[in-house]
Amino acid sequence: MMKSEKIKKYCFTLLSLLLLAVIIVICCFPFVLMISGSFKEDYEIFTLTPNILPRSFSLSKYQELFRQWPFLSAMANSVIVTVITTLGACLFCTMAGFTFAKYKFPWKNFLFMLVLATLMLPLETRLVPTYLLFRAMGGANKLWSLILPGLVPAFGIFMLRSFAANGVPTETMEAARIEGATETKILFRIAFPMLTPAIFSLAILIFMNTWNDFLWPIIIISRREQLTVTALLRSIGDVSMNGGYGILLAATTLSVLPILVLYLIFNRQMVKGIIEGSGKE
Amino acid sequence: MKPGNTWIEIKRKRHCYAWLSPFIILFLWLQLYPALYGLFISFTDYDGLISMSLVGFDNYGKAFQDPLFWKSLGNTFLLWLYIVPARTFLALILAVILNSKKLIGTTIYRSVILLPYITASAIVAIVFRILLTSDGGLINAIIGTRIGWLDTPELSKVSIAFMNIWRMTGYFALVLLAGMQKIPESVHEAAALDGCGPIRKFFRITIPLMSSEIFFVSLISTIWIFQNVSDVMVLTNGGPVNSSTTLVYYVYRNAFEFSKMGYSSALSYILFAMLIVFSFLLVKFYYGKTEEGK
Repeated sequence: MMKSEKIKKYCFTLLSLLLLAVIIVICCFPFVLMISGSFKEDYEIFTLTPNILPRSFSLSKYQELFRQWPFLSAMANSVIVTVITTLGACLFCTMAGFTFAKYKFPWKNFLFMLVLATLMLPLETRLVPTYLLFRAMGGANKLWSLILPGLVPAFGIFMLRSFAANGVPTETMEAARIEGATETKILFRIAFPMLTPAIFSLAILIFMNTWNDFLWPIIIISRREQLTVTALLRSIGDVSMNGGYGILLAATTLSVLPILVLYLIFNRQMVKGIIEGSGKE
Repeated sequence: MKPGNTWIEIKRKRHCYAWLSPFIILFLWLQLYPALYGLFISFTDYDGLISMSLVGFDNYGKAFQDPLFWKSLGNTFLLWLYIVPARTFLALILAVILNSKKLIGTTIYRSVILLPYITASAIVAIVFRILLTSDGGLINAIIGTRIGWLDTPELSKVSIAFMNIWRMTGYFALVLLAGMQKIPESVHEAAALDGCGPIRKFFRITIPLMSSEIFFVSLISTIWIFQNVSDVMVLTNGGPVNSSTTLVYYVYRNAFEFSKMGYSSALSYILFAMLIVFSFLLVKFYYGKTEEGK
């Protein structure tokens, strides 16, 4: 009896390890290929007997990438756009989410309907007018065109609203009011500190979304020097698809790196935030 | 409430409006205005430069006679058919496995499973394009074939679906898992007492109890597939011979490759009209839900 149960337990451990291995291989395989490919010489990328580790380890593809493409400025653009968007969105979403969660005021429901409405108006369904609007405002090839549309994402308002509803006790706010705190003080001295974990989750999500954004940058930015990293990849891809894969793999490796590093450091918060950000409460 | 009282209340709560003002301003400026402006453009023949004259419903009429419109619509539906049922089912199975108490290393699983999701879809598409190339692509090298995954009309959509399933299954599995963990332990115990096997339990207990989450995942999937441009744009460029051009990619091409702003706007309004049903359901059942209680 004892023995058979022990065997069963071992079998299960073995099975779950096997499963883990399979899942890891399926999920990581393209990444491994991408990273190792970026260190290979061209002749090694396409062979019928591919090696996982590059035999001809070289950094030549990275050198070529930086020589032929404005990759550094693209990196800088991405950092600028992503950081400003993230900071702005965290501030504005917290303000809005907190207000919706904790205050009663005329037209609240109507205003909340507007938040819901933004979920029904994705960029993809208004590409042309948005492009024309930004072009008319002089936003073509400008970084602020990439920042502005992402400053108050609706899902961020939802996220912060649901956190603030339980995360900031009404009693605490009342107590602060009795002591003479203004509402602004309550927002910045009470709500923001108490919502820090939620704001942090949101920040990571927005950072990721903005960094990975692709469609809007390629529409509104046409000068290579102003493109973000993810958008520049398309240009590199168009040129490199007939053979120059090495450069392309070097570029993809570098552009995924910031997100991967973030993911390694803030793994727990990111996994939690992504699931919470899906909107299901 | 008398109008005067409302006004006093608004004045008293003016900080609320101040804090909502970034949202309100950006909504009016970058969401509502473009949406209305787009509707106007869809009734013109604007080429993006100078000429713009009203053409009434011509663009909409043209769409219904445009074989490429129907083809791209058909492609979108086919992609949906290839992706959503298979991916939802896979994600559900994966969630059941991850929900197992005896499984070791669940944190590693979760992290690894989300890797494809956190990567930019453009990057995933580039890597898959290299993997799937007919000449010397790794997938062909492994199977020992020379199949044109990306350059045969019959397979281009399959390749997109394959990539999409790879990229998103883990994410949906974790969303489903979060719902699955809300099923009370007593239900599982009762099922075990009744001698319910794992497969029976899956179909008789897990799926029915998870129906809300499964519906949510299918809904979100549907909306995302109708919106997705980057997969198609980077992996196949809509080709070969438009076999993988989806509706939203056709919208993009009309606007930014053929300079048919008017026609493109009309197409995106048709897309919007199709999406609105799904997004309305999403908002009604999932986002709007908590507000009603307050």
